[in-house]
Amino acid sequence: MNDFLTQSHWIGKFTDNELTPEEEIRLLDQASHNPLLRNELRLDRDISELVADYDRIQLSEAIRKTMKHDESKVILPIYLKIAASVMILVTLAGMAGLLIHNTNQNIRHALHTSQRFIIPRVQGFPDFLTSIRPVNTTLTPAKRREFVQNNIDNDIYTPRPEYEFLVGTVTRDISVFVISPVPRVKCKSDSLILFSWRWMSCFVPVSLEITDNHGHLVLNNMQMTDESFILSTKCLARGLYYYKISAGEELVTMGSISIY
Amino acid sequence: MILLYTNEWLVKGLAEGKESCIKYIYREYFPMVRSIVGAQNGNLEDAEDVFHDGLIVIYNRLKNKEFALNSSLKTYLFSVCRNLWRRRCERKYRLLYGADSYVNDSEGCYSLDETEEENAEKFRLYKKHFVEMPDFCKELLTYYIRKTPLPEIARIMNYKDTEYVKARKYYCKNLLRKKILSDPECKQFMNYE
Repeated sequence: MNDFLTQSHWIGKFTDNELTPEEEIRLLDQASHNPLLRNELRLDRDISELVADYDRIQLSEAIRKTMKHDESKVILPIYLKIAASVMILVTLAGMAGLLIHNTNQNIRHALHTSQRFIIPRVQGFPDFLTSIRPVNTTLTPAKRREFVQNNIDNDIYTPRPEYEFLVGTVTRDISVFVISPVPRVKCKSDSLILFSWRWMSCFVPVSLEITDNHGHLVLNNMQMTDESFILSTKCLARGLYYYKISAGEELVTMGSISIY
Repeated sequence: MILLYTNEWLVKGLAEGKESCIKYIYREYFPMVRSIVGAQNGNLEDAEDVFHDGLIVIYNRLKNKEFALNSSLKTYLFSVCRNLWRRRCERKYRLLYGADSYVNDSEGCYSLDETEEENAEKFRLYKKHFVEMPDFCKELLTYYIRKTPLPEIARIMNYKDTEYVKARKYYCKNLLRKKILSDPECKQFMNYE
């Protein structure tokens, strides 16, 4: 028995039909008494049959390789995948928003500094707000309100250079003499401002124009025949305004009104 | 990139052993197998073994010209794997308790032939021990499996003659047999004495 087990190639030769008839008879005789040898003979036959299909071995290797490859990957639960996707999207959106804001801020800042006098003012939404809007996006609401308020205050009281130098230094027409108001008027928002004048020689219609500090006409071309006119500041928002009194085509006087 | 395969493509790909098809099948159908195995306290390794054996069983059947797949591959794989796992559980139960338990095999056309199931498991076992063998044995047996002529094997492996190749082959097969017979899993399903 041991002879056969030690000479294991006999088993292989038996499977491959390479034993001589005498050797085969001897082996089978031994196998009939030895269950271990019978097991080995069957197993060897099974191995030969099972490994005969090389394609199947390749398929098996491919399956194992696929499973090993996938095992090396970290499999995340679906909720983590969703959460990660959302976070990535939010981050990307934030970055894109920041980029757009920065770009807008630069453009608007340039417009604000160089062309602030030619930007048309939209009713109900002053143009200066558009220029400051991107700056305060990261501030708290209270800080943002304070910031906006400061900017509003700065903007509405910013003197208009082309008008400012005319305030108080006017070419007076000999036909009209302006009594009031003074060149620089400061008043509250619910005040009355008296405009009064006297005709010196002949009657010439007097017109009053009030513009804000951005050059927009607020009160226009009133042909007045009386010697006075009372302006209620209730209809005007807080800020700096310029008034111009003309007699016909000629400027009589110019001044500023600061409503606070 | 995720490609969607039709059932016919998958069957054909599996029969030809295409890696892309196997990857797709694994990605799409393995969770199903894992749930079958997991439902009866099986672990990931068990699920992988069952999945492997299931694909081998289907491959063997596809090789048979008379076989025709009348359902989707997923349904078929599900049935095959469920039966494989049930029989494996039954076998474990028998080994543990020596009980005359019987698994109700009422799976109709999807029920497995005992030999098919055994062959798939034996094949996996042989394969497992084959990869653990010394390199020269693996190389020699691979040539042998590929049906490379013995003189060619002798030339490639620098053996003096074909007789020596044969002797080495028998030695390697003997080694493989010993490894398999010493495996506890071998005793689970082999009806050897």
